[in-house]
Amino acid sequence: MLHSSSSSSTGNDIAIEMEDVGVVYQAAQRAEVAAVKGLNLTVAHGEFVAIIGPSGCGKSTTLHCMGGLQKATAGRVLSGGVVVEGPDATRAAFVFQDYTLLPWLSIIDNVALGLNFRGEPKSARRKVAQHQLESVRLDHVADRFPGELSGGMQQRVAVARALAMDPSILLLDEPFGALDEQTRRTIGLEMARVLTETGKTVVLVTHSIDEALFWADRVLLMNSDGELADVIEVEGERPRSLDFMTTPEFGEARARIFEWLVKQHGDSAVIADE
Amino acid sequence: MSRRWPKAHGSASRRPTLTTWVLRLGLAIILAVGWFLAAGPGGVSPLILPAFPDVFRELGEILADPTTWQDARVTAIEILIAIAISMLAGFAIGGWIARTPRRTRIFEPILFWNYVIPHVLFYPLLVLWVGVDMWSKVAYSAWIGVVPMAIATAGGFRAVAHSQIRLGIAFGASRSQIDRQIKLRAALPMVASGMRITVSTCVVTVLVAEMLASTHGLGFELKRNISLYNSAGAMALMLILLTLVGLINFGVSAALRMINHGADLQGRQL
Repeated sequence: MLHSSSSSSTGNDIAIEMEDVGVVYQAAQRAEVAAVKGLNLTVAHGEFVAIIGPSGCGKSTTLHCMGGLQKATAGRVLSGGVVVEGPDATRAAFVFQDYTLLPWLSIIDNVALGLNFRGEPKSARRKVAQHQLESVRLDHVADRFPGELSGGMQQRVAVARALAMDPSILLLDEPFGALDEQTRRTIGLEMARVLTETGKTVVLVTHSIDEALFWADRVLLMNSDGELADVIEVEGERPRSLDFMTTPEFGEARARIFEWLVKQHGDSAVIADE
Repeated sequence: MSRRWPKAHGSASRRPTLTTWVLRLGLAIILAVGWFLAAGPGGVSPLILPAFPDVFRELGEILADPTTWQDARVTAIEILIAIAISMLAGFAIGGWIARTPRRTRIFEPILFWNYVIPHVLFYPLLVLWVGVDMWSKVAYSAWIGVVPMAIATAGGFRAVAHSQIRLGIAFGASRSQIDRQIKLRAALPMVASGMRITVSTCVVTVLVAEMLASTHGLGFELKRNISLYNSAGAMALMLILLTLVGLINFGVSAALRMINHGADLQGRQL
């Protein structure tokens, strides 16, 4: 059973710790499906970790466990040394693949959504939301509605919404999965800058090898049995420039991951972003 | 929370242009000319299609009669009370059913089955239980009107995207906040459609009930004129009824126009 921890993590530096975590779902006909098995990993404060693996390997389930949206059926998840019992957006805020902006709210009110649920006064939450929109360079669309924005803009709003909660941890579940390749790369550069500047702990689930290596300090590979199979440390300070993608280290890591994914899928491999 | 609605581009928000009004007027003129010609010498029997002047003479007499206004008031009150009961009860029932899949499986087929029942067969029972005055009309109309509202409400709440509920949970919403600020808002377009159908249903059923067994109301007066073979009077009353129905629909449409802006926005993508 593989255990992965940050090379710099000590007890006080740990943002997330998963101890022998397993998640079993009840499927049809009373069958049980083990989505995640025996997961042991730690994520240090300020670290950027990417999780990659074939479809259905339990990446999103792992992320949801970290955020308290999914309860582990075995083991436990700790954050800051405290067992995670449920979601808490001030601790760990999500950015979902489908943006999930509420269409009847303006952009600024979407960003302020979590603050509204918390009972913050309107002026205070709009001020925070405005600031976060400025950080993702979308302050000029504050009074527009989600249906008027492109997919890339909507996703940046979703990031701003998560940042508005000032969480110590950001959980990104394939945030750019619904975007075309060109938009994905453009926004990826900008988001890498924004997220690095915040200094927050980030866990990213992605199908994209390039995205994982470009953004993360560490890339965790999950196999189709829902287990942690391998870990790749990525050298290089963040935020990284496009030049990083032409370095030999990037190429070797990419080839290693690609080879591993091909073995996971067999000869009929379908790999994202190739 | 911002409730400002930008100018949406769906049909519900499009104001009629001058061209549209001109075309509508043109259509009305064509119908009037057709009516005038058909009711003229060598045309349709006045029993079937009374002449314009006769209808407007009857209309003048009917409007000058104080009992007409009392009847109109009775009909309007019956319709409005039936609409209010149908909407409130239908919303509560639909919301309750949609809470769990089990309730949906048990009760939704019963609601749909209600559609195929010939409710008019039960109206004499209602008259026996409640009497021939306005409350039997209200009860009859509300009983039928509650069904489309309940179905639309249940459907609307069931169709709320799980991702939106998950979003609320992830960002710390309480159960009541999820119900009010997410589920209810997301379900509004379908609930609004249910409201529109409920209004039409209540109008029709009140008038039918008045025609079946009543001592007051515009439906009662319409039936009385028909039984006396007073086609012109019946036609005049239909014009009054259409005006009343038009006013009720205008009020409902104005309220629904704001709600439907949300539906328009949900459908727009760049």
